[in-house]
Amino acid sequence: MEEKLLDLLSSLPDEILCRVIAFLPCESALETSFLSTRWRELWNTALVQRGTIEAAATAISGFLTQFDERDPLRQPRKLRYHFCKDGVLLATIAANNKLYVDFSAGKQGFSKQFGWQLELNRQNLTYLQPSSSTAATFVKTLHLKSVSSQLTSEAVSSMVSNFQFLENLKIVECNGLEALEIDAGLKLLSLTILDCPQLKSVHMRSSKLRYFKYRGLLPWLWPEDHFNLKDAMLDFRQGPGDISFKSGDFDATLLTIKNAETLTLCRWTFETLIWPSISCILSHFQFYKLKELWWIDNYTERYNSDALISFLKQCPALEQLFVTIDPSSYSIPNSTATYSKQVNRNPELEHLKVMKMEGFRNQEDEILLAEQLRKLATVDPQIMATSDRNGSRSFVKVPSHQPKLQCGSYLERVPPRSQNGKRANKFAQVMGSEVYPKHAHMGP
Amino acid sequence: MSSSSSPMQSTGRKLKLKSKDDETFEVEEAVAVKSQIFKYMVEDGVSNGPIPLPNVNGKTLARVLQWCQKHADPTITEDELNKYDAGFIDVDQAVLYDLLMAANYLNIEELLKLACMRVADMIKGKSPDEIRRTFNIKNDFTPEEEEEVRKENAWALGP
Repeated sequence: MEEKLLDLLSSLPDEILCRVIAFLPCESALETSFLSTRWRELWNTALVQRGTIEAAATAISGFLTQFDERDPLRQPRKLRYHFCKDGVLLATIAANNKLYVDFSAGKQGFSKQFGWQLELNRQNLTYLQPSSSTAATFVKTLHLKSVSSQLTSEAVSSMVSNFQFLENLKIVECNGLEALEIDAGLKLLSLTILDCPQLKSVHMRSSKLRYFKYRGLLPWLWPEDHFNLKDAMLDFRQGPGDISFKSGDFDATLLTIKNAETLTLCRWTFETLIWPSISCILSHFQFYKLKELWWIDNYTERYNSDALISFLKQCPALEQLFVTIDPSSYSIPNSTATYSKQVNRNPELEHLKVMKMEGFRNQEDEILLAEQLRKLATVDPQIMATSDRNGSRSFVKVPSHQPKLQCGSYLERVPPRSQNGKRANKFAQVMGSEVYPKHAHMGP
Repeated sequence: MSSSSSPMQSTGRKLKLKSKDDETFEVEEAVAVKSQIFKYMVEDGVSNGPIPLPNVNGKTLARVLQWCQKHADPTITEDELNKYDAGFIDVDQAVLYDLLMAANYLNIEELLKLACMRVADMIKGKSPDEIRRTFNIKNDFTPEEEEEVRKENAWALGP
């Protein structure tokens, strides 16, 4: 006899479930929102308030002070604040001192251009409201989404400036945001700016910034007070927009990424903004800490790897290389950049272990690049490729006298005959090949 | 309920309780006041006749009172109490929920905490799928809703 299995847990009253959740560690707690709609509702209770734009910052502060991290559902963790006619602000608190402020629910309306000046530098504070002091210390991570011109620059600036202990700032999809000025003092470690289509200038005064992620058209970047980035994602694949750079304009930014361990870079950025500055001082300018490189490129007929190889010669410590061909990414038409064939003191990539190619048009281009990498590397690296047409493959070197690769269930592809007929490399189709996790720039 | 001598209350008064399935229980005041409900009743002097408890069945009430008895015992050590609690709460889900509801209804803070922690332990470390299987929770999200939940929480779960 089949026993009907009942979901007794979900039938318990809200207050008991909230108590159970209070005993869960932070991440497990929030994951319960994935269980079913009933559980999701527990997490989505929102405090609803209405007021003026100017009072929004105070409302958020007040909302923050009543949050208890050890009992995250005792009070609503969401604040829905209605302002003006159609404006809606949704503020959500999460464990580990995170605050997410999202304006996308309200009608955006006509987006005027506006700029923000965010002062996180303690010494420059002229006042600090006593009631908001808990809020001020609490927020370490702030996400701002879809902040339109409805919220005045002063309101945003004063709200963010309240969070004096902010370590991570993420600004996403803010239409109309034209200029960003951040005085970050000593606390800000990470700045992420994604998909702000009108952003034309970013001025950073920060000495401790270590992580910088940017996706969008190239803005005017001004890093005042030099800082050393550990991880830089410069996803300017949409191109330079209206900005016209003179030589040397990118140098200050270049210095911030010189010591990076992880870098995402577009080929056009390298060709136009970096190579001209370093080509004369090659032996003195190395990305000597760079371990992981994500290279975004584009081509029409045959892949020209000169730019990439030139860059790689400046990266003696490189361990992992990911080359992505994005057909929609900006590339300089008829590039006339010339790359010297001079040999560096350290031409070999002694530490290169892995290379992954994505989106190449055909296998011949993949093999060509793989060959070039092999020549540069001291030890044969693991080479893989994925493309829409051919799936995921691992690159295996086979001696030319051996006609077939004995690999059991492996499929084999024979590459087109090369001119000198010496081509002996084959791709072996690896079943269930290991897929490298997508990097931040590859996700939505 | 056996009325073992507990030297706590000088009056040695007993409370009469009636479960929803008409089982009656006699319990020392000292034991009963573990429940805030009974505590107030005792303090207010309202304890004539059996107190009806329409939300708790006899089996569960017996268990709850047993727990209260143990916890009202002044001679028991903390170690022994912890061992007892661990064994007490190691029950199957149906009993666990009955205990949760009863502890909530009778407002027995310690027992409620014990039972909630037990459920939390059953959830900890499991993926949402595994949790659903453990508790027979039906995933009633549409694929679009699931994607929504993922999106709306991605910022909080990430680094």
